[in-house]
Amino acid sequence: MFVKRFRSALMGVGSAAILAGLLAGCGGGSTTNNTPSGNAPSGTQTQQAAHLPVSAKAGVLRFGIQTDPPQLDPQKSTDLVSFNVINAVMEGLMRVGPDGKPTYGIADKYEISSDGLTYTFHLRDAKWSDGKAITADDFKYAWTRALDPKTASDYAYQLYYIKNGQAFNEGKAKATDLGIQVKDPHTLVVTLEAPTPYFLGLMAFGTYMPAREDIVSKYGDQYFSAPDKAVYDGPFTLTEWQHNAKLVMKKNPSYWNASKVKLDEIDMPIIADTSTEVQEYLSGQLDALDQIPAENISQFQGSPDMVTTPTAATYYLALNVQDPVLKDVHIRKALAMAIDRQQLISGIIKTALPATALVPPGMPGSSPDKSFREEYGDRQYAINDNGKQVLGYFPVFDATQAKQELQKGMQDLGISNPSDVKVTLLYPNRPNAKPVSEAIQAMWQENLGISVNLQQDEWKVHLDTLSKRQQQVGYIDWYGDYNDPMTFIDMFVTNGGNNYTNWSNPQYDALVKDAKTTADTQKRMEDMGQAEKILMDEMPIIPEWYPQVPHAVRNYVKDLAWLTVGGDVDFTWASVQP
Amino acid sequence: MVGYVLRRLLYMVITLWVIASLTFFLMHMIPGDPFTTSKILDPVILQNIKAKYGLDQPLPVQYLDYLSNLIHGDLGVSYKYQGRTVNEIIATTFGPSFTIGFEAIAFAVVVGLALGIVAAVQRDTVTDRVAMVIAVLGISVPNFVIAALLQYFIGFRWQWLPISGWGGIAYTVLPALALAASPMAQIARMMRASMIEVTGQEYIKTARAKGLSMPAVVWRHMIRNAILPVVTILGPMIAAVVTGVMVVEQIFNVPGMGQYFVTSVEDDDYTMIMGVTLFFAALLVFLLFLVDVAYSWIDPRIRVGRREA
Repeated sequence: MFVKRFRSALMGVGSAAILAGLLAGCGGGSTTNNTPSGNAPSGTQTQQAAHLPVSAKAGVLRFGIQTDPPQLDPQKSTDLVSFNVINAVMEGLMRVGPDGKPTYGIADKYEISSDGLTYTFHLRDAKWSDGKAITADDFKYAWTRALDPKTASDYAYQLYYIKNGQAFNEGKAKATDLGIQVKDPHTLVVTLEAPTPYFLGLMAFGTYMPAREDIVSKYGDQYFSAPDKAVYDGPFTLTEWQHNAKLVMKKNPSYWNASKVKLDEIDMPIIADTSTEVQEYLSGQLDALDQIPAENISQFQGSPDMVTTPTAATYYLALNVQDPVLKDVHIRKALAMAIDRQQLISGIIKTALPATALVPPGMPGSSPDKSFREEYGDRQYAINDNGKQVLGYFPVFDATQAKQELQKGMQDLGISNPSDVKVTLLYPNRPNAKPVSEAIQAMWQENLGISVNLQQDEWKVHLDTLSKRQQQVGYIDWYGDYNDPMTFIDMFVTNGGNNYTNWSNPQYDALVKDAKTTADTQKRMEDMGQAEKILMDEMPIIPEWYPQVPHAVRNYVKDLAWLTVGGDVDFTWASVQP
Repeated sequence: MVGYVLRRLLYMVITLWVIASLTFFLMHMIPGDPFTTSKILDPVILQNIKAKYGLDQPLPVQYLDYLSNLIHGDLGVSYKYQGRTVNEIIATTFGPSFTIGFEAIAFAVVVGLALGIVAAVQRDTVTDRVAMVIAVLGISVPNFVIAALLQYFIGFRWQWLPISGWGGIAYTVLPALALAASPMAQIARMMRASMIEVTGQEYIKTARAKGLSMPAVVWRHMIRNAILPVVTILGPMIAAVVTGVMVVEQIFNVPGMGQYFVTSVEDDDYTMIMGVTLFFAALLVFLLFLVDVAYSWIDPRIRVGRREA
């Protein structure tokens, strides 16, 4: 830790000066650089060039990432870094468009039955990178493979929506029982377990990408472990992979929509050390950074290069409701309201919105133009996010109300002195977790007068403690798997694997079950809205903030599409014109 | 000598076995496993995965399996980087680590010895002072600070060499320099002290009295005798360079083994932890053995086998 801090301080001296120059050149940094066709005035460009060197080549994007993709096999992959590559070299039946909504991919038409249970996809005439035609069998094979217990994929559950998917994965059904039917090489009929309104969006998700049986059987576990051990159907092909050094992708001439792909090449240097990555960016060796490292955000703040995008995630504290103190709901509410979220964000997190509910903004609501967060929650606790309302269930920070709740709780528990309320906050050795936990400790002590202990654990130890529900208060986050509030709501059903709180509420369980079986979107959303209200009334979790991801993008890079789920970025439409 | 070497080799195997066993059981005592993630897996899915990798077996069975694979030179498949074997990862990442480590040691030895000798011969002059200031800086400034300074000035400000990355000799220079600073300084100080001590010896006076020129005395008598203590510290120094590689590789983004050593522990990637630990251990044990052999070769008076007589 010390090493990192020292180095970023040292680097800061040089980089801050350079960025200061950049800001001066851009007239206060209010210019937007990410408008699709916005040409910056030429004066601005030359001035900026004087400060930030440009060595970019037209059509070549140099995109910095921080870790080697652990697993590129789409059916086994589970992490964002790998998904960024998979989204570039593969394509499913659908693709998430620049507006965040599913657009046609390998499918060029689909029909959904009125009960929402049957999806019929019609495939276009598209080819793999080796020239062979993409058929419905390639999808059936890939999906069956992901669900096969022998494949042992972490993300098998992403396909549990398919009829008998879970049963097959658990060895209780055969592959032939799966609701995947190839009508002809261009028609795939999928039957679902229950109506799943977000199933169409999942067609763009990595686990649902097609695979060629001949290629997978040829390479076995080595499939996708090297550029020549896979075939591609996306806008790019992987041409080079030096582990922990770089990945290179080139435009795929066989891609059905190749005429729309403007980039010829994507270079992805893998730079684990964050200050080194920032140095490379500032010296003009990189055109974009997937994520500005936490310790460098303040250097970039105000710079037109910094683009912040929402992500489907919520950071929260998991309270153990069987704890002798935390079993009292008023104590839980007191803790929730005594946290000054704005201060956490401005002081430590930098790019986030304060959270007073579970489902983050951006998750869709009952109508296409409204998000769930605009529809459900208490209007009096709404906050404003660029003109959009973000509803919540309690004040972002209210020390007075927090004290009142504490008094009620202490009466319930028969405690007379606040300092006898003892709470231990457990946090992992991850970026920001320590300063955030220390700040929360100070806020609780100051605003409530209770005694707060901190304990740090190594990440996996922390997860182990939480999964055994041995914490009192645990620092944790959740990143959604798909573009629907359900990816958050169903966590807190009784004994849910990720419900670290021991909290259980039959009414909540019933609402979740109802939402999972109805085909009526309005009703689903109402159910989830009600369920979320129950959760927030009982407060087994304390929402802290909804993170936003800070990216760095040079002004000559256009149309990078940032994603909220299923990866960080889509390069399909991007261009580089220095 | 042959008996000595054989016995040493046997000790090396025993050492490695002890390290392997300790590492194996210690790492299994860490809570969590390779498949602990922030998304708790469905128990059935987790069971499928554990069965696939044999992690559903009792620990002693896993241990014996591991040892038997190890004897056949098979270090297993990485859990984090599925589809890649540990053997393959070590094979591809050892090259960059070795290049940097070797360059660093070569640089440290050559420059360190030169500085030490010059400082000793020109004792109490400006040259001596300058050499020793360099040496003190090398010892007291940690390698990550030197790395950052090199990156900032040579890479960023003057753009003489790449800031980070890998691909050609130019990329090896800065990491090797950052790594070499501390051992170079130690060698310089050790060599200077040792040379000065030798200078006072009777045989040096004799050599001078015989009419040998100063360069000849330094070359033939002083260096050869003064270098022995330096060879002694070469062993621990190599160990320091090996651990330094891990830090320096990360800073300069070198695709070497060092980062796997750190990240595999964080990931609970069992096979990777074992593979990298054993590989580093074997390397170190072997290099220490080489140092001992070199020691006896430089000074014929030290015949390792003689003690047993």
